[in-house]
Amino acid sequence: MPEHPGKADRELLLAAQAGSADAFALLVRRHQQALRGFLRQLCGNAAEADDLAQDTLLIAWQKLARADAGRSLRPWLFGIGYRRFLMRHRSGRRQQARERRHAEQQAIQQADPVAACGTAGVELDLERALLALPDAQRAAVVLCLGAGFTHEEAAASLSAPLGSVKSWIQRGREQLAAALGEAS
Amino acid sequence: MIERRLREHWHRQLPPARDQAFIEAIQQRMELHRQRRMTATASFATLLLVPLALWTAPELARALGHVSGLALLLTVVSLGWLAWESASG
Repeated sequence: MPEHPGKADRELLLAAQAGSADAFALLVRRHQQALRGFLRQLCGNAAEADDLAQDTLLIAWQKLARADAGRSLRPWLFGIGYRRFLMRHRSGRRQQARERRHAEQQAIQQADPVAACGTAGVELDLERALLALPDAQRAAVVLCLGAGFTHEEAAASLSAPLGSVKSWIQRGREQLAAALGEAS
Repeated sequence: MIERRLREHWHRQLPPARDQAFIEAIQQRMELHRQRRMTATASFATLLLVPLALWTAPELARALGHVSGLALLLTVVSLGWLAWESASG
């Protein structure tokens, strides 16, 4: 049983940096759900996302000394997750498979006017629309519009300038709106 | 609105807040990692100590002879490196 149930992240981080496995376990319990949610929306695959989340938490444990206890833990943790995702993703195969699926879907819609008309009036697949966004845009949109990160926190997570994050969110919102047939 | 749909989607696809299997899997990986680090540290210490022993004990090196000493050194380096690689991988 963890010894620090009521403590803030900062106190837990300091305790974990001092060697408390209980404190780190409590941090894992607090953040695993959102981290996995973020990675699930990046990957589009729950099993792969959970595997990445485990890698992320293991790396966080190894590099705990580098975490700044004076700042929020979430951007640091999610930043590790995002970089792990990019490292795997850039192997290329998953990206190619996803692009191929997306191209096939578009070809089916263009070739089938009934299906194309039908999609205008029904719920489009938000997940597919999200997966069609470039990685950085998708990450920024999910962090800020889904997970409730501030723009500054998202910029810290994605190691990107604040202006880029704002622009990714704007463009991502517009592309999603266009894909889903809604006003942005 | 896109924002509302994204927030709803975010909450829908979240895993359970208390996922004991996931927490236990992390703890097992942490323990495995700790054991591997200990093995790697021991291998690395061996890698450093054997050449040091040969260097600080010239009579041992002479007894082994230059060729066999070099072969031993290379073997130790190779084994140490392999151990380090396998332990950290």
